[in-house]
Amino acid sequence: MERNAERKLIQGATKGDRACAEALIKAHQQSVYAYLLRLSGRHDVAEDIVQEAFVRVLTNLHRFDFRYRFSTWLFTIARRLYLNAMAKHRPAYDSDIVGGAQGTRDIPETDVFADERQSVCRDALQDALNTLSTEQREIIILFHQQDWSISLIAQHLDMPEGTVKSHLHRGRKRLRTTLESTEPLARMLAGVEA
Amino acid sequence: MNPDRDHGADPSQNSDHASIHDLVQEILDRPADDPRRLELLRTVRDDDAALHELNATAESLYELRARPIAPDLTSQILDAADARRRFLPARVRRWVVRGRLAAAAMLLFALGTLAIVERVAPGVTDFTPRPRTLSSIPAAFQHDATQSAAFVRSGVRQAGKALAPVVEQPGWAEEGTEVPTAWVLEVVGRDGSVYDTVMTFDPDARGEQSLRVFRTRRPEASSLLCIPEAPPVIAEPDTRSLP
Repeated sequence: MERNAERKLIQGATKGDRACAEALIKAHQQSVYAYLLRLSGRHDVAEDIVQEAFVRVLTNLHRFDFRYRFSTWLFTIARRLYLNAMAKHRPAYDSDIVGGAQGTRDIPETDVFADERQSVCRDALQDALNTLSTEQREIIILFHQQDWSISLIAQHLDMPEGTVKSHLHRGRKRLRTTLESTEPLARMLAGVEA
Repeated sequence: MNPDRDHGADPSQNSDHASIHDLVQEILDRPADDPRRLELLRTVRDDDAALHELNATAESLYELRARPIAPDLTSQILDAADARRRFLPARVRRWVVRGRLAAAAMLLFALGTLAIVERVAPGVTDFTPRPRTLSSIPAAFQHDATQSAAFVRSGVRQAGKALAPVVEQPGWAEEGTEVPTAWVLEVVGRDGSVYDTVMTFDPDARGEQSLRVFRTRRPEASSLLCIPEAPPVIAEPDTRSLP
């Protein structure tokens, strides 16, 4: 979203305009949800944190500093909430739990949609991501999914750029190695089933 | 594989010693529209090992760019945010803020006033009961008794005013009419005015011979009224008119 348009929405929402707040949510919920889903590997965790992050942002909009990007602020709050949730209950990366946690949300639960929701967490990439350290996983997601620059990630995570690069390189290497090692097994299983 | 590129595929002098891995990482670190990235890509196009690593890594990251379908949480978020901090027009919110500030200022002012008063006259603001000296007990007792009597008198007057209209035609009570013990009696004249309030426990036992007991005709009047025989003078009641 263009920064001027975003600025107007933020100012409107700060003044109590519900429509502006709604537009802000619609503009950012997809990306923050994708980030949290890859980070946690669980739909229920991602949904809860997205909701709480937006509520905190909207109730503190008057404190927003326009020198920064709104998305950076939102992601920082979401990340902090995720880390807090992690500290309280270490999430189990169990796609069955994710599948069972559906049905109470206000979204169309068609078969295709439900399948898609489940498959996201069952894919090999998520399994490979889960083998990375939290820092590596987060940096890879921010860089390759959200297209954040290394300097922005460094600022967001309060790390030197060199450290961010180092995590990024190691994470990518490990991700590729893990995926390469699981692929033959997956192919073999697919062949047996066929 | 081109052996020349094993030790340095980058055409620039600074990257002569860069390994294939580092080269691939550098390519991946750069945005797609970065000219330097294109330049590096040209250098690895003939290097099988570099190309393999680049393709394998890019392929593993490809799926990451596919965004999952996110549920629309807009209404839940807005409701939750509204419950925590209402979406109010700026003018209303300003008044709310001003009201809160005014309340806080008043509280501070009250506390400040109390502090000043306490400083000027220590102990004035201390409302906790203090132990009394022995000499103050009789005075306190007298004060309490006076207050209690006034309270009883006021209650009886109220009752007497309510009953006054029922003694329009009082009469002598039959002898032996039972006067209840512990009765608060209002001395009521025929005109309905209240002369005095007396408390009786048992008129006979205490020799209150001057009291006569009247009964009212009205069935709803549940109480007896005692009128003294002596002053205040009231008209002679007609005993025969009463049952």
